[in-house]
Amino acid sequence: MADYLEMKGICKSFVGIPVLKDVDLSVRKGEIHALVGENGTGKSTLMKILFGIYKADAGEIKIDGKTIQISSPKQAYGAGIRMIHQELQLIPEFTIAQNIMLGNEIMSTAISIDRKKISSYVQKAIEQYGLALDADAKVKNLTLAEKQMVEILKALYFKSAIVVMDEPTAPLTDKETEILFSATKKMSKAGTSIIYISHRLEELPDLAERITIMRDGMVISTNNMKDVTKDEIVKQMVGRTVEQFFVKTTKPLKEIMLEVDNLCVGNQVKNVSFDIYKGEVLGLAGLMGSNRSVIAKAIYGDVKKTEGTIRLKGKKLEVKNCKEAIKNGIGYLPEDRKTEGLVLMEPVYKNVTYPRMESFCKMGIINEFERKKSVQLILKRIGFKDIYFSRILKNLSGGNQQKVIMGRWYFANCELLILNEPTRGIDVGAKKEIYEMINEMVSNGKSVLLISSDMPELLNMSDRIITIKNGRISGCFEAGKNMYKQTSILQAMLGGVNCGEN
Amino acid sequence: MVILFSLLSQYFLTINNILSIVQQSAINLVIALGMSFVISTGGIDLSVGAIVALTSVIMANLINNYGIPILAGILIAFLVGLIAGAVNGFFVGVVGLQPFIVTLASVTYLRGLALVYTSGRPIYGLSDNFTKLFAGYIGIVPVMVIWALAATVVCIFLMRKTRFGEYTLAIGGNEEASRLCGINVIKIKIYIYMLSGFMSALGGMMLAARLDAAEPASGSSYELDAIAAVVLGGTSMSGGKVNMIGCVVGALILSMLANGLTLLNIQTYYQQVATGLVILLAVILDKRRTQ
Repeated sequence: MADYLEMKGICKSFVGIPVLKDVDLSVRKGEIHALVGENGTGKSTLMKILFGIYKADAGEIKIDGKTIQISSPKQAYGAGIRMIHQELQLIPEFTIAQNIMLGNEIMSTAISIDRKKISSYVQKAIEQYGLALDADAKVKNLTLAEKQMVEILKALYFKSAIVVMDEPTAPLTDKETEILFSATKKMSKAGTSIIYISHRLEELPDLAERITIMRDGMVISTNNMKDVTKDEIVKQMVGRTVEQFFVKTTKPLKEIMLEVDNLCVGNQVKNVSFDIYKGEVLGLAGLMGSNRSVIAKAIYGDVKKTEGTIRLKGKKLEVKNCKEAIKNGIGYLPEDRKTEGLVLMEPVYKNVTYPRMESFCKMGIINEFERKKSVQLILKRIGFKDIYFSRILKNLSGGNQQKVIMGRWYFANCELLILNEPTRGIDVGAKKEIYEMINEMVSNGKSVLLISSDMPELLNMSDRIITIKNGRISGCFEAGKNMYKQTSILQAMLGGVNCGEN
Repeated sequence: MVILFSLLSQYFLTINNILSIVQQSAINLVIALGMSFVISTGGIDLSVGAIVALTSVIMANLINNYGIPILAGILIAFLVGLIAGAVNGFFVGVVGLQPFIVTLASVTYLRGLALVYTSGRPIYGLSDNFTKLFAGYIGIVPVMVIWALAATVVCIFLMRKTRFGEYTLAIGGNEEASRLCGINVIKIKIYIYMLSGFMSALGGMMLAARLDAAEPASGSSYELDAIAAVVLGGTSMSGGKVNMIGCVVGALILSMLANGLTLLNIQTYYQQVATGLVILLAVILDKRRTQ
């Protein structure tokens, strides 16, 4: 089969630093082509060149054998190229139909839009591709997976030739991922070429035909998916062998850190009880809408519990807000580091110290010398060089941003750290470092409540896993036991109560 | 601009004229400093001009008609400024309304209160000690300049060296993350609007002293001048980024412009046009620079 899209000899530098070095990428018609590489290897830059956001310093782009110039996203659209961003580009208050037809409205008269026609056209397309969506539903009421479906539908509707998907499954649960995959496959069957960027290597064999691996601005290899193993991919990505998975290294102690008894939050969380021991990682699994984050936020004092008691090291805990939770030694790494975790415009050292400013403040006045001393210690622990001290967070990679939040809780000296999707959208190397930090914490007798949609991560890092469905505990699993495997945990997330082993 | 004006007018760069420029900018600067904190959190305070009017008439009435000691009158005026700010802060922080709407309401009711309190009549003739305190001279230096300088130093210190200042910028940068870091966002917001109210009260005292009168209608459109100074200084309206020195420069530029154009005998109507254009130009330049 001939290559439909060819990018040849693409070079790009930013302020003299080469980001892409002579990169070749070719994609066949109707192919799903995986593009992998650690963060900062130039994948996004390459895609932005394809999309006309950046201009390549050298190299050419051919579509269907013809060389074309793409110097703006508008031209990219014209050439049938679409990009599905991680941050979705939909208008929440508009319906699905309105969003899809935005900029291509069907008019009934010169000035008025024919809403009926728009809605019926879009509904027809939805049915044609076998998606379960309602054209008149407002986008703000959709789940994240459904929103991505809308983006895919948009690409399908306008018969896009090339679609770039940038980590579409990062925020999705396994179930939603499946739905997304089937929609993606439908899109490729319809003749669309798909460039699929992902950090979740385990999902690729199911999906992609070929895989291109990038490292340090270069293409390392392009292979048929079935010819490479996951180990080989990881090896090529990092350029050295890493242990494929990281496991928890120490056993929990016998003393209890946290007791949650009959916790209820309105009708979001119902009668949830569990303990976390010192030195333990307790995994919390649940599909989107299971309200697992609400449980975390109730412990952290950000959401008011309506019933139940929480005890920390035997002492009853009544926290009214996050500040009191922090004072009691609880830390929280939120699900979305950009909107909930970090002040992106501020430097590393400020972001690290926000939760416990009082330790170097006298009468509200900051002692910068003291602060510098303690932050430098933290930077060492999270593996940052001193030059990171006043880097603005916005300019750090996702992995480093996440490490700053980990550093923050080292600094706040917390006993119980709640991690909500700690490794979402970060590269293999940074993931490993986060796991090392978790191991370090628990080996010092601290405890971690780990919420994650990444099953292998959850299985490898937890001592026990409890599953949540509709705000209730639907299963508990202990590492080393028979049932401690992906399939049974997924079953518990989807339905039936399974506490037999406890 | 300085060069242009000094070439066109021989008076522009005289010491007297420079002092007069600084004096003219003093009230706006004081208010703009408070406004900087508000804008840093992504908020806005439209009520500053009304607080100027209300605090000055209350002070003047208490001192002139009730024989209250001058210092007590001033203290009460500052208290009124703090309370007005706290009410703004309550509705923004606790109730969670939009700052624009909250202060749009308070500009109206505070101005109304000032008119009710005085039955709409200005109070003329304040005590000499009072006018000396806020609008006198020490040698050739106007006291207003000293007040403005002191306010600048205090505000820059607050912004750069204290936890309060750091939290202000954190909230402006990402409110959600700040709350999850244990920052008491509501409390800080109330403090910020109180600070703005306090600075407006100081502006009110300075204005009354300069005019030797307290007018319930005074201080109208002061909020726009203050916002202009803040924006000219390069502070972002969306919050999280502040430039306090820039705010000082902004206030100076505005009064320099007025002063220079007056020296050149240009009508005040044209001056307004010029000021508007300068603000636009400055913001465009700032955007270019930061991109």
